Amino acid sequence: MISGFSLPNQREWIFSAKTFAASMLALYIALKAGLPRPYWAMATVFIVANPLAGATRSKALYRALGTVFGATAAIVVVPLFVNQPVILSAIVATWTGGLLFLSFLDRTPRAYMFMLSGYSLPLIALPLVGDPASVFDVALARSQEIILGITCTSLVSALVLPQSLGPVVAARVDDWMKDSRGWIRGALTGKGEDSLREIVALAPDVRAVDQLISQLRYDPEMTAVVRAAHELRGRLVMLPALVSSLSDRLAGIRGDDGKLSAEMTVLCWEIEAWVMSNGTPHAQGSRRLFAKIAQLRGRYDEKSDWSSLLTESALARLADLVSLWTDMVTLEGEILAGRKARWTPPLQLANVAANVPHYDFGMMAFAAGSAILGVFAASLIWIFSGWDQGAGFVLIAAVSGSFFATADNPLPLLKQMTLVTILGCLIAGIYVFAVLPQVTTFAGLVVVFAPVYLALPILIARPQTAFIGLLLAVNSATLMTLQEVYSADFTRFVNGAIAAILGALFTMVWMILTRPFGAALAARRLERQGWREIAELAAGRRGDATAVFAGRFFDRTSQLVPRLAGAAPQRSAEIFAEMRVGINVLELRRLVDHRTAGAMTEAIRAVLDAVADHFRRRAETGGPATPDGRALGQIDTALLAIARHPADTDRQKAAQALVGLRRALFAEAPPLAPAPEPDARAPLSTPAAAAA
Amino acid sequence: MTGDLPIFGIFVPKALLLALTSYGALLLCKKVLARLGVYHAVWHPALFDLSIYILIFSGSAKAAQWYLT
Repeated sequence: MISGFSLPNQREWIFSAKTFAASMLALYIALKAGLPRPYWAMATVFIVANPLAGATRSKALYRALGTVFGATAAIVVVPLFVNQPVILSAIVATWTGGLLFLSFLDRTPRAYMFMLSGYSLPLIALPLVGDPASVFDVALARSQEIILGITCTSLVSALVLPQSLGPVVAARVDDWMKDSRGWIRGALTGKGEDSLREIVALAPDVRAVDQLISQLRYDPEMTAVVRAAHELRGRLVMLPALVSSLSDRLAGIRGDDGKLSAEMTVLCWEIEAWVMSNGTPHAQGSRRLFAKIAQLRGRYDEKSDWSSLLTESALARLADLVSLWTDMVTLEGEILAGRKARWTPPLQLANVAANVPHYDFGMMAFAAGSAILGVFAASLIWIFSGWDQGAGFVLIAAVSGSFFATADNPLPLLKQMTLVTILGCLIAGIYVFAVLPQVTTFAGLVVVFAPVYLALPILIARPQTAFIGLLLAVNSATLMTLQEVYSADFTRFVNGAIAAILGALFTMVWMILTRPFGAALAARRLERQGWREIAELAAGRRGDATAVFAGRFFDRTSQLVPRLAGAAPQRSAEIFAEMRVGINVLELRRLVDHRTAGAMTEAIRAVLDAVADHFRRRAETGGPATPDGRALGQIDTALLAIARHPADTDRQKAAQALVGLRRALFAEAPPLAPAPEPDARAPLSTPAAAAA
Repeated sequence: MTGDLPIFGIFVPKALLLALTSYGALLLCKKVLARLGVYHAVWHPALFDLSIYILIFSGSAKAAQWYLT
C-alpha cells in the first residue's frame, strides 16, 4: 500500500513527537477530569494535527465550531423525534447532506466546519436513541472532549518548536517564479504552445495554492503577507491568458521565414533578458522597457492594416507582460519579507484575476442528494435489522459518504478506507485484549502507546499517506474506548469493529449504485457550462468584470483538467483561446453598452451576436470548435468600420479586442484583406466575401 | 456566590465567559500591536500571544473578584 517508504527526516520526527505529546496530554487531562469518553480528546489530536502551525490552527477552529453546531442540533432534534425513528433518520440524513452541500460552496478551511457539523449530528444523536434523556450530557461531553483535544494540539503545535508556513511558502513562491520565467521565455521565443501545455497540466495545483494562502491568515509569522499572496495568485492566474495571447500575436507577425522584424526581435530579447535576470535593479529596467514599448506603439496606432494591428496588439500585450512581471517581483519580495512585509506594495497591472470559484450546482446537488439517500438507507437498514449497536454503522456511512462526496471515482479510496479500517480494528484489538490488561499506570499507558502513536504522525505528515495515517490513528483510538478503569467488553468491541467495517463497505456499494458516471460526465458538463457562459456574456445577458471572468474561467479549467485525464495538454491551446475569447468579448460588450449607436457600434454588435450564436450552438449540441465563416466576415467588417472611425481610445480598445477575437477564433484564417481606399467607398461586403 | 451565570436558562460558568471575553480583548490587542510593528521585534509570536492572553485573563479575573466582593 505504501511504496517508496523512506526514513523520516528531522521535521517529521519533531512533528511526530509533538503530536504524540499533545495526544497524551489531552488523554491525561480528559481522564483526570473524568470526561466520559477521554479517547475522543486523544483522537481529535490526530485529526487536527498538521506539521504546519497555520494549518493546525485553521482546522482546529473550524472543528470546534462544527462540533458545537452539530451538538446543538442533536440537542434540538433527538428529544423531539426519538419515538419516530424513520422521521429522525430522515432529518439526520437531510442535515448531513444539506451541510455537505454548503461545504461544497466554500473553498476555504471553513468548509470543514460545514461538513463536520453535518456528520456530528449522527455522531452524537444516533447512539442515543435508546436513551434520549442523556442527549444534553453527551453533546456537552463530546464538545468538551473535542475542544480539549483541539486546545492541546494548538498549544503544543504553536509553542513547542513551531514550524511556520514561511519556508514552505517561500519554496512555493520560488517554484512559481521559476515556472513563470520559463513560460514567459517560451512565449517570447515562439515556444508558447509548450508553455501552455505545462500551464494547463499545473492548473489543478491552484487548489493547493489557495489552501496554502487561506492558511497564512492563521500563522502568526505570516499574517502580514496574506494580501501580497492574494495579489500574486491573481497575477499567476492572469499569466496563462497573457502567454497565450502574446505567443499568438507574435506568431501572427512573424515573417514567412519565422523571424520577427528587427526592432521587435530586439525588444523581445531585452524583455527576456530582464525577466530572466534576478536581482538587478528591477524598477529601472521596467521603466526603460515601458518607454521603449510606448515609443514603438506610437508608430502603429494610426495605421489600420492587418500587420500593424497585430504589431500594435503584440506591443500592448508586451506592456502588460512587463507590468505583470514587475508586480510579481515586488510581491515575491513582500512575501519573502514575512513579518516585515509592507501593507500596500505599489502595483502596476490593472487586470488581475479575482478568486472566483466555478460551481457546477447540478453535480453538487447530485452528490449531496446521493449522500442524503445513502445515510437514510443506512439508517433504515439499522432500524429494521434490529441491530441495537448498529449506530456505528450509520455513522461510518455518514462520515465516509461525506468525505468522498466530491470524488468522481471514489472506489479506490473507499477500498483503501475499508482495508485501513480493518487494520485499525486489529491494532485496537491487540491493545485492548493483549496489551492494556498489563498496564496499571498512566506512565505505562504512554510507554505502550508510544511505538504506534509515534509512527502514525509520520504517515500523517506525508501528503501521500496522510489519509491512511489519520484513519488508522482515529479508528484505533476510538475503538479502544479507553476508560479510567480497564474494562474490556468483547461483545461491544466486536460490535464496534463490525459496524465500522460494514459502514465502509456500505458506502462503497452505495457509491457504485448511485454514482457510476466517473469523470467523463463531469468534464462534459464543465465544458458546456463554459461555452454557455461565453454565449451569455456575448449576448449581454450577464455582465462580469474581466477579473471575475478570468478567475472563474481558471477555476473551471482547474476542475476540468484532472477529469480530461491525459487529453488536457493537447487541448491547452484551445482552452486558453476560449479564455481570450471571453476577455475580448467582455471588452467589446462594454464598448457597445457605453457608446451611442453608430457604424462602429453596429458592426461590433453583429460580431457579438455571431459569437453568442456560435457558443450557444456549441453548448447545446456540441458543434464544431471553429465558427463558420460568417463570424469571420463580421469581424473583418467591424475592423474596417473601425478604420474609418476617428482615432480615440475607444477605437484603439475596439481594434485590440477585435484583433484578439479574430486570432482566438480563427488563428488559421488568412490575414485581413487590405482596407479599401477611404475615398473609394467600397461596399462593406467585399472583405467578407474574400475571407469566406 | 455560585460560579455559574444563567443565560437563557443555561448555566454558564463565569470563568468561561471571562475566558471568551479575554480572547476578544486579545484579538483587539494583537491588531493594535501589529499596527505598531511590535511583532517585528518579537522572537516567538505564539508564546508572546499566549502570555498576553494569560495576563489579560488573570488580570480580569482578579478585577472581577475584587469588584464582586
